[in-house]
Amino acid sequence: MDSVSESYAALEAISNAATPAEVVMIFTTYCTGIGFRTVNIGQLSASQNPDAKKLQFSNMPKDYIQYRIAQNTSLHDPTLIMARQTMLPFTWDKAYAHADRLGRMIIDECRSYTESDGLFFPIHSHDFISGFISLGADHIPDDPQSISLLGFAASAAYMRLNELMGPYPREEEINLSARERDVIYAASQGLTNKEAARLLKIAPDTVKQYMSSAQRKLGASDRAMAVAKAISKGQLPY
Amino acid sequence: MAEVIRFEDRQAYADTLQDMYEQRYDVFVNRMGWDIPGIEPNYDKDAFDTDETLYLIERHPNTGEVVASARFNPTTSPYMLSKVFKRYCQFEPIPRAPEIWELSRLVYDWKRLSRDELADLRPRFRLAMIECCVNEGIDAIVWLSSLQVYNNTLGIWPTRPLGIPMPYEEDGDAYVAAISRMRRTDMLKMKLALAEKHMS
Repeated sequence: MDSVSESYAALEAISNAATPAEVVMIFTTYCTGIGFRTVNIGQLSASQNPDAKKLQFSNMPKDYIQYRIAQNTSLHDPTLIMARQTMLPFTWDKAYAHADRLGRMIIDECRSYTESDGLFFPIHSHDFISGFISLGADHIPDDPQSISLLGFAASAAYMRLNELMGPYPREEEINLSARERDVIYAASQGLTNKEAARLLKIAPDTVKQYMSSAQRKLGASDRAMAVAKAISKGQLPY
Repeated sequence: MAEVIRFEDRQAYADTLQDMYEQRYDVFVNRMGWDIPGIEPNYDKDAFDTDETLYLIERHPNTGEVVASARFNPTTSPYMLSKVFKRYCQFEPIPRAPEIWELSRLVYDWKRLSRDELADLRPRFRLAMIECCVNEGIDAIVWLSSLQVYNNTLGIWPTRPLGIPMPYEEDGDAYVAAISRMRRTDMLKMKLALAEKHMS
């Protein structure tokens, strides 16, 4: 069977799967058949949506999953940050190259538990909470057709899981940029704009600009309300 | 309620079609920035609006304005995927069969609808599309759209990709060609789901 026929067969089997466990099993079998050992499926929604974080599957080591929960790494995970900004798949390496120091530490930690590299598929939808599937392997295929076929299987699996377990309707997400989050975090620690500017090594006027764009996104009329809303909407690590 | 407009109905629906062509221009050219060759200013009627084209149109119950529309073309004549977007079909030959039609220019006009009206219209119009296909003997539709729309469609109709997602322009969104089966059973399921939603 060629790779396209194999992918079509997987798509058909996923769309006919009757239970979430069956979807995960078919998808995982398909992925391992082409060299991917770890599969991680989850949602990309901001945590204010009550349906967020309900659709999650992973065959990664349990102690690694516990580490992620304990460290609340999802806020700074460069793969998740990048996934919110693109529709196209990317490698863990690519996210690593664009990450800050904390982000690189998160990917390094992941690599120490699982595979050396991986492919990350963002799955965006107009109707449902967007999601992702991250696949770990030591060797990533580099031809566009193999990656696309894998991406179609990932979309099919995520959407079928959504159908069987959900629906998890989408809500407007608030996505603060890293800098906006930094200035809100500084404000939450009682720092003035000048102090935040010194800490972040940017001009006080730039801090003001980030603060007002964060306030606009959060629908907050002042700094205190912006901090409160950022915390309640899961934008700060509390 | 959505209406199907065939070639023989066009005289009776002249004003509605005029509104639809103008609206399409507003949506695709003004708002989405498309560059559509061979059309007049403020009027998106192109080489694929032919005598064989079927239109599905939904009008606002109060104002009568077109709020959603879709264009269906037979794949036995030249159609967009076969003429303009061939490169999006790498996995299989370009579909050509009397029971396979192309869906294009799908519009939901969010400017003419409130948020609630739009949320209510989308599932109804999807049902209208499958009803139109089942009634016209169309077993499958081919289409080209963004990956986001492709993902949405997976939850609605059995769908498979026809090629690799690629951007239309160098830095644009990725588009994918796909084929969706239009089955009577899915139509009935959608009807049931909508009825249950209205009763709850």
